[in-house]
Amino acid sequence: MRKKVFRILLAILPAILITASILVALAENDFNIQKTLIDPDDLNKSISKFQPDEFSSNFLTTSNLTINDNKTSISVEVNSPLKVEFTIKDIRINVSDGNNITTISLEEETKINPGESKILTLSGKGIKNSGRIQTSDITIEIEMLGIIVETKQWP
Amino acid sequence: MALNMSKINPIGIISGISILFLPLAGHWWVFGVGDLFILNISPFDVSILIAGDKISSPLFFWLTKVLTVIILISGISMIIGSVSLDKWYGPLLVKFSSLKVLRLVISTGVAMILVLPALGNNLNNYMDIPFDIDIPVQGESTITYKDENLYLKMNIFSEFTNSFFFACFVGLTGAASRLYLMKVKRSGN
Repeated sequence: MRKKVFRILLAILPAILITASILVALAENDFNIQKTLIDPDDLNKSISKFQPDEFSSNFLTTSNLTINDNKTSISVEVNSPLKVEFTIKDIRINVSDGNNITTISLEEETKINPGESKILTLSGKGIKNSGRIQTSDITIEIEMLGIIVETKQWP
Repeated sequence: MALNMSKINPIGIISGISILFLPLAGHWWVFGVGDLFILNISPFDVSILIAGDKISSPLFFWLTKVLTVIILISGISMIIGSVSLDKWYGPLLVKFSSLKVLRLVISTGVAMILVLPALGNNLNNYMDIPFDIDIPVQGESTITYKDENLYLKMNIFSEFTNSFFFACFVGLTGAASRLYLMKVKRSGN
């Protein structure tokens, strides 16, 4: 009799443990995984400077950066091969005319799906266009300080 | 004093000790798409790296932890059963433990060999990728895609690691310990 009970216990033990693990995972109710994909610090290491109107990584392409005194905008396109929604949490750009440096940053975080392109507005005053700096001259040095991207509902 | 071979299962002892080391051996299979996506899989740990950052999943976490516990229990049971074949519980413990690792190895191997090529053929349907991906079971392949805005060239690599082959060895010793048990039973000891 005890042999039979022992045999049954051994047979059902793995099934009980595996079921319990699935139930615990379900109880955590946290299958939406959010993760910072590109850390600002990492970005600084790999890309510290870039041309004023273009920047690209594995995930994102930015273009048409427009900086002026009233409104600064940048077009961001997500080209990730992964079917995940991206949230652009922040874009910070240092703009310098050689003497003064000012930082402009994203006004509000924006969701972008792969294949989509959106024009994002950055707030904070850019460098005033004095007579010395012409928009046609690429004399403005721009440093991308960071793009924080999060995936949502990763399987 | 001579060892009574009807009371112990030497192959089972070796197998039990090996089973205890198995969760520490590392990942069984590594799959990567360039530096963008790296997957390290074993039944005891699943590690997913996207752009260098580790992604965790509660489901994977708990399943792998439970599989680790089951395998450790199997290892201990195998050792206890192997040194007490003459007790009523000895053969039961050996039977309980002997095929666990082999089943894990076969499941993993079959999943990789059968599922991966099929997955690669259908991946572009799932992910809206405008090119075909050939996922090698063992080795490397290259994806190249080019359009106006995007040039993409990435290596896809996949490899069964030495840990997998160690797991094969452990699985086979487990099966051998069961055969030894049957032989002892047949000989009437």
